[in-house]
Amino acid sequence: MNFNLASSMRTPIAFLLLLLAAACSDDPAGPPGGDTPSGAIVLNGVGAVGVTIVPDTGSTFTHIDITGPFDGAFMTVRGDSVLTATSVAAGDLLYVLDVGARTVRALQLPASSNPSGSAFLPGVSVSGTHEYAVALRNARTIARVTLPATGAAQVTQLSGAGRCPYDVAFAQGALWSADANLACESDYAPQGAGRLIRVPLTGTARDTIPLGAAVQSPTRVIVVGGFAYVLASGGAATPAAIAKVDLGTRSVVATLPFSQGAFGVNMSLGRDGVLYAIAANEFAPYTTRAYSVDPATLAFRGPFFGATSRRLLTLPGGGQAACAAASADAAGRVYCVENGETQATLRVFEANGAFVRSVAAGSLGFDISVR
Amino acid sequence: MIAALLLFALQSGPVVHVAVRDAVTGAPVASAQGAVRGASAVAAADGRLMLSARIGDTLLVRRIGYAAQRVVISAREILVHLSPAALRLSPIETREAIQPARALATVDAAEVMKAGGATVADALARVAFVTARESRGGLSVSMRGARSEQVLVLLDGVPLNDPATGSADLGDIPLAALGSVTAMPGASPSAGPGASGGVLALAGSARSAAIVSAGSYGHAGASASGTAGWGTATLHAGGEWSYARGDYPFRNSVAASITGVADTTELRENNDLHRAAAFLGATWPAAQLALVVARSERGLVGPVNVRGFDRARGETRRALLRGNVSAGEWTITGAARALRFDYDNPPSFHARTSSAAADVEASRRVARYAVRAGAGADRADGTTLRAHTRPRAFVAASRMMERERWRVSLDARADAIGDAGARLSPSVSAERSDRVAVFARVSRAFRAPTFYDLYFASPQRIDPAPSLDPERVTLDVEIGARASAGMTTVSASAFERRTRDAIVWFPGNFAWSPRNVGRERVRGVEARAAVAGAAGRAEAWGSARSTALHLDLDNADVRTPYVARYEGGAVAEVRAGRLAFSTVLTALGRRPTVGIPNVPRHLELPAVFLADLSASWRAPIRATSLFLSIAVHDVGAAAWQPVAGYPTAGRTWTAAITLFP
Repeated sequence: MNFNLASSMRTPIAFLLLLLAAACSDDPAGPPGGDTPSGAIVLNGVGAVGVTIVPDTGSTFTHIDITGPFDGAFMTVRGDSVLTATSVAAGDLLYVLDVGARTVRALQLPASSNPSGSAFLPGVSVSGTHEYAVALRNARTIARVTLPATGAAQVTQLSGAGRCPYDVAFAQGALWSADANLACESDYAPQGAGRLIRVPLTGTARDTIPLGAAVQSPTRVIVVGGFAYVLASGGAATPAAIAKVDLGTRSVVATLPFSQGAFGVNMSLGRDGVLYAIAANEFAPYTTRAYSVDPATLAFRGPFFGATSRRLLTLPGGGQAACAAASADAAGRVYCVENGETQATLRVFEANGAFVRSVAAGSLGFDISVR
Repeated sequence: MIAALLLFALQSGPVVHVAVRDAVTGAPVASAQGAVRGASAVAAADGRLMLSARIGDTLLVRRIGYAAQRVVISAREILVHLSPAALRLSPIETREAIQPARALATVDAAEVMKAGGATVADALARVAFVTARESRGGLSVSMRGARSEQVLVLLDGVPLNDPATGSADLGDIPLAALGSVTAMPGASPSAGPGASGGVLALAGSARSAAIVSAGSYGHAGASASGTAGWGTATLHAGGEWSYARGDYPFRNSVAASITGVADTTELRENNDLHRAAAFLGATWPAAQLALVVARSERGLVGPVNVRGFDRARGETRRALLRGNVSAGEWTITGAARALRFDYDNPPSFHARTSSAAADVEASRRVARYAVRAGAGADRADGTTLRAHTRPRAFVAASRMMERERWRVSLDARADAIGDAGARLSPSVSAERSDRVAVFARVSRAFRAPTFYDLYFASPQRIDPAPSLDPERVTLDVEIGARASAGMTTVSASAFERRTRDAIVWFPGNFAWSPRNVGRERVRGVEARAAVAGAAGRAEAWGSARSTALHLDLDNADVRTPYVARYEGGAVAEVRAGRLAFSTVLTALGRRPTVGIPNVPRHLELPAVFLADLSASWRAPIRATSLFLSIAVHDVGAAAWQPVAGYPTAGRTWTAAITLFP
């Protein structure tokens, strides 16, 4: 599907179309809908690691521990299933959590492969076998993980996924590797501009889409309809950026740079069909902010804070929320994970930026999905 | 000839034997100079000297680092005790200057070696109030709940703390070069900036000894040191080499969650350690020179289950040079040190950190004050560190007053450090001696941000700007009492330390960054009892404390990671003829592995109780003592984790042959 909506996208009708696009996206990692009550799932990346489920109402939350080594910062959610991977420093593991059954399964990925982003592959076989894909930065491959209902997981590596595949998405019957093009196995030094690489599930043919000099160090990819949205962290002289790639023509159709000095951190797709990007402009201490991006126009969406592109998210005290992760529900309410020194708080804001409520969300939160 | 000898005897008088000893430790003071009526002699390594003098003559004994002593000769054999210089010179031979009113614990390195100990870690296991943490071949210390960067580690007065990280790694310091290890918990501002949590003072030695040892998992080691006179100088030199494969089994408790079956037992890979060190010292009556060089190469094994470090290697090279010279009333001290760490994780990850420091200081007594002033600079650079040089200077004064049973010490030190501003750190302590002596001390201190705090350059090019304030100990108070009866000493103290602007690194999605946090408070009690007799000695200590770092954003208190609420230890040594047996017990409470409020149980390391046993047999061979010893460590095979994911070997053994000429 190819949505080419104009700036009139901000109308309710347009939003409805966009929601449809998200729902029909052939990215299985799109907006979830599980068996558990609606609310938010927060990935707790440091401290008491695991995921925290915050319901839509009330002030209590449920935490599911990951008791093994963990340092993940990204997660992918489908239904009650959550995928999140650890880096080489924490044992090259893919964790599969079932937030309904409250189970955690660790799957060993190739040693020293340095996993990062992950994706669900479509469908579940009659025998209960699930399939996942994981970007392996140091191995320069995408791991295709087959997990039978019983027994050990099998891992197949798909090569040619780039210099440093940081994230992966599934769309149009193939995997799409967001290649950060960094020396991930050493000091993460940039080796060139970012790329999006099509990796079919079978065969060795690869299509590489250069993302342009303004797109340095891609770290996340989200597919909406026929487009991939790639968040790039940026480099020493290049700010964070989002590239919009037409998967049909396999070309970049637009690039949205952030303000100079911005470091791109994370991005999610809200249930309102809007992209929610996180970027840092302040580094002493490190502080991150939320940005809303209209996927159709690839423009920042307001309401804005002052003259910036940042999303207006006003706290009760008058300050602006420092979101480490953000997403939104279907009504456009923004769910922002704000981190203290060690604890995360979920802040919910109306679409106009007005504060709604705060709920504790466990240890430091680095990713969020709204159900 | 006979006439000449008679004439000499008439002019010089009969021979007087003088034994010179350290007033604090009782150890012989080598190279002390005795002078009387224009003649002089220098003490040998055993602290003894001879010279011609008459009864009633005044003998002047002096040695750099000690207060000169004038003694009226009253017998043919006299004993002179030299007190360590009251000024806090950080001298080479005098041990860290002792404050009168504080908790203190010392171990003699020779006693550790006699019991088969071969490393500084073996010595630290016997030092009260000290918690040593060893992982990946590195060895850091904590005391009174302080983080390792809050403990200033000195080798003969020279800081071993790396200016880049703030922490000291004692893993490559040769035990053979040491005479003693002294722990002084609590802020010690006069020792220098960084001593906000305590001081661990390693004192060099002029002892001659040789050790050969072997043990579990491929451990082998050898060290030798010797002393010789050369003119008026005493030369001391030695070296140490050791190797350990470290391929011990451990239980991989993560494996079960992956395979769905039971935990597996695996061998530690890439856990070997090679160390080599050499040291050289020269002491003249008015000057000293010391040089230590060390190199260690080790496998930087990862946490359990993490195979990504199976080929990671680390190499540390260290050089330390220090000289003291006494010129009239002045003592001039100069020191230089360099440290380089190389990290290599094939095929393509290489990183380096280098740091260096140079200092010069002058000291003398002015009226009733011991005064010193100095200047220096630190420099660090590395793969993830922007090169930077930081100058610093200080001036310090101290005065000790004694009246009847009271002894009061006043100290003040002012430091000016580039990037950290100027700070004044005062300290007042008082002790009233009696059958039960009581003491109290109040200090303030600070710790400047380290180079990593200020100039870290992340791989993602996220570079925090240097906007950190120094960490300030606004109050470090200690009140205690000690009593001695016969061979028994008992002491106890209560303490509290309040810190503002503690420097703590907090994680973000991509980058960790340092931040000043509001308030840190540590309070607790410590007690120690020791008894010594002809048949042996025993010592036990215990500590209970609470640590609370208040986080402003979270409005919550967190405990300091890896600091237990309760810990203690005991050492018992029994001698029976030529046999000696010793036991070292260590108890450590549960320790949080993360700094978060209400740490869940699974994020704490369990309490451990460790027992080491050793037996040694002494064989006197002519003028030497040969010790054959065997030690069993962690008899109960606790196989604990000092750091989460880094299990120890469990029960191991070491056999050693130690020779003291």
